[in-house]
Amino acid sequence: MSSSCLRARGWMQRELDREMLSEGEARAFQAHLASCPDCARTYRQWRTLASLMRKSPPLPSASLPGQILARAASSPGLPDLSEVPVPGGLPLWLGLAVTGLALAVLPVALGPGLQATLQAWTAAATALETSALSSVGSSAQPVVAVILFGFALTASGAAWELSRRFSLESARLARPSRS
Amino acid sequence: MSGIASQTCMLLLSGSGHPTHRGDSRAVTDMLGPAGPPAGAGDDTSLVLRAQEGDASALETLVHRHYAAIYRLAYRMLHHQQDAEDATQETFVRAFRRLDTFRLGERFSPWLYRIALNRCIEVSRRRKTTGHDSALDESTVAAGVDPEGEVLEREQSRALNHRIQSLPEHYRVPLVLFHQEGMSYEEVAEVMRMPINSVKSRLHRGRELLRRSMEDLL
Repeated sequence: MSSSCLRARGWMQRELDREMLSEGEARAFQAHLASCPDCARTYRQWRTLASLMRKSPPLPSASLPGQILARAASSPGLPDLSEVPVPGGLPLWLGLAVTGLALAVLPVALGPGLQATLQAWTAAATALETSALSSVGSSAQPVVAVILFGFALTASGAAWELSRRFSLESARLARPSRS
Repeated sequence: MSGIASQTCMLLLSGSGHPTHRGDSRAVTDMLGPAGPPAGAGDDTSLVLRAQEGDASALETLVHRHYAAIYRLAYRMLHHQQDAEDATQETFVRAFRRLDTFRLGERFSPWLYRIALNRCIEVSRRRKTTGHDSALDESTVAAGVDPEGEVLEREQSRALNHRIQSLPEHYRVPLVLFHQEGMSYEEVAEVMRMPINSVKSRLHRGRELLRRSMEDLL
């Protein structure tokens, strides 16, 4: 191997090490690759190899964090992870608080325009909602709509929490107990 | 244990190489003082401190913060999704059991990486002794779309996975950390607890071995 080839191999290694070549070095490197098929082939191999190695692995299962927590929860000597609320989930108390706030504030804050919007939304509600609304006078409809919305919010929070606990418990039961 | 090199690697990657007693952690915290890492509500060090005191939500935050990186590392070491997920779970359980050995002067993620690497090395060795080494996934996500070279690329990826797996651990680990995880030399040296020059020489030797073993496919 000639001295210019040796120098070029050194530049290849530096490039693989993510080091910057100076302008002069980069120019001399490119000139050498253009004139030396052997070094050009080796350089292509390095680039292909580096590109193959950068490929991303497949994503993990969405349930992986839950599985980790369930496994940790079933390990003796660790804090009880089953009582930790999932960030982003809607706990029951929050659903109730939002409902109360909505009931207290929204009827007062509703202007005529918003009332009209709520009435339009009410008209498009489900059969259950329509049935409930039909039993009250039209002036009370916005209030009933807010109450229904609050109930829906509370129910979704409770369902979310229940499903999270069910999933944690299922994962724990599916695992053999660890010593 | 198989071979001096492997034993050396395990020692170098030992997550609890400097065991401390539970009481030491407070002394280390005191030593850090104002010059130590910031102990804001969200940084790893404060989460570890809270976890050491039994705060379950701190453990959960650590899981959510680090599970993706640990899974990615485990996948690159094992090339098998289920094995990588199992190794990720085991890594966190081990880490949480050993939280009292974590020295608060060091960074949490290299410590966690060491535990993960040790677990992956154990799984690799078990595969070799039980003959399950051939069951590697071939499903990696292409870095770029190239329909014409897709078949060749898949073949190259498959061969690369197998040949990386067959490298000795002391070459494979720095290759994975530097070239696949994109760590700097300093970070690899921190994870492997060895001088940067040793990392460099292992990396150069490892990738040259890899290129030669792949020469027919590149």
